[in-house]
Amino acid sequence: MKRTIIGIAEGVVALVLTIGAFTFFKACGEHDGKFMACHWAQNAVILAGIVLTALALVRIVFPDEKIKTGLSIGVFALSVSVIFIPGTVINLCMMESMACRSTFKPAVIVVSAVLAAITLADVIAGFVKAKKTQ
Amino acid sequence: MSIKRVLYKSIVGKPLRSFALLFICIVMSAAVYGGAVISVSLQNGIDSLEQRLGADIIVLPESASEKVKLENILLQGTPGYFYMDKDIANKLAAINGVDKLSAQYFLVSANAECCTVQVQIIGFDEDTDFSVKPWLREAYSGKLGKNEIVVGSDLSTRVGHSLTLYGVECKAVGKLETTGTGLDTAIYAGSDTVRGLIKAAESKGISVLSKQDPADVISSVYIKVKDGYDIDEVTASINLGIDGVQAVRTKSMITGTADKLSVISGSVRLLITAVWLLSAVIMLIVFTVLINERKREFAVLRAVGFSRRRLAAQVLLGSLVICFVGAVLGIGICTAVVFPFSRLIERKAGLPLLTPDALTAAGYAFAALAAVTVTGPLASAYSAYRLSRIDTGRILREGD
Repeated sequence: MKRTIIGIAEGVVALVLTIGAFTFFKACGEHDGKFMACHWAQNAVILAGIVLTALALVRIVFPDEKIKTGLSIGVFALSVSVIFIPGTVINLCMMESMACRSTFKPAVIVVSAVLAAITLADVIAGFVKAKKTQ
Repeated sequence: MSIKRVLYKSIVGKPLRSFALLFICIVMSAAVYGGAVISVSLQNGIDSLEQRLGADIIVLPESASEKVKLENILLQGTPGYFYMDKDIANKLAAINGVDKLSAQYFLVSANAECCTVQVQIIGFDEDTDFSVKPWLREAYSGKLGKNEIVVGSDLSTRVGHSLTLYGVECKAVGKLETTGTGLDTAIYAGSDTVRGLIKAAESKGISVLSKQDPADVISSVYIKVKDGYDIDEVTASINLGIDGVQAVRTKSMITGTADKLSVISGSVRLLITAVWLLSAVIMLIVFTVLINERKREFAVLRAVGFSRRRLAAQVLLGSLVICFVGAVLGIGICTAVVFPFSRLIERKAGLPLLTPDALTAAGYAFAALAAVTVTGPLASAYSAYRLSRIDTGRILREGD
């Protein structure tokens, strides 16, 4: 039961990351028909968010505890990677006051960090459970 | 059964009750810590702005919509430019009471190379400047050469890299510390560089000046008043004696912002006190009600050998654990919101915001943690006292 709740939380946070990246904490928009560097960072985050959501859903559906733990390790690794997409892997705009730096980057970092923390707890819970059943 | 086990069971066994108490503690700690950090960040912002202006009077052309436009440039980083005749500086030098004066040149970049965004360019006179150089030295100690710039902390350009402005390659030789003001998004350059950029803008068909030559204009003049002279009187002399200019006392320009800030800081302090008091009262009520509800549970524990002191300790420890966990969560949530989103808060508030350094923030976090953690046991102390005096036999006989 506890692991199902954690799984649902993982799915919800991954969905928030995916939807938020192109809605309420999106990067800077198109200007004069030109996309800025941050647009590609946004696309990368959306793509990673879709993969994270899919993995989280599969993790809820699969009954096997070991597969659940394995999927959670994957979600953890990917969510940690997402933290580095805006600004480190893909450049953002020039000024800190712009939407991509003031909203998109911190929001992606915070949401990804929350997701990483939840999945880490899930992985630990999975290992503890596996040890107990042994 | 150990006290730890009973404590664990009483917290986990009633998840809704524990969550409600935890929620109160999260709100309380977030209000105390978040409020303190926001309040001190606003104060830091206005202090850094005051330090960086470094002049007693700023003289602008009348067309610059008086101080409002400059305030926007300085506080919010709204790019803008305006010009007046260079001779005005000579007229100002003749005003009684003027000690030092230095002209500045404002220009707005066309969309900078990487992004469609305009950047404020501030030019200053290397020989006469007294307001920019003292703090510019933090980033660059040499003399700024032609097409050399120092960038504000909010620009992503790194030292040694170049920035193309109006087709001119400008090399960044320094990067400034964060001030939390509009100055963080500006580029600083020598007067020759700015004049060169004005010419480059005109050669690209972007008309910055109407008819004048870039060498004959200035944007503003920063004035230091001689000791013993009244700044207001010198300001009035400039406004009365020279046509087409508007002299603004620096302090009066900041006063409007400082007043707004003191209202916000006062409200934040009031909010912190109100939330803290309200939460303490709610906790007091909750613990009193809980003790009444759990009378039978405690009576059973007494019957199986728990001493009165041990029962009271359990109540105090229970509230301490919940308050501590709630405070840690509240401070964590607040840190995750206030620090990463400080630029967004600054933009929305329209006020300079300079978050405290990690050590100061840790100090506030520790103070909030202590305040919230102590509140719980204090609120439950009365309940613990009542519990130590319960008549076990009577409660068990009553049955309900």
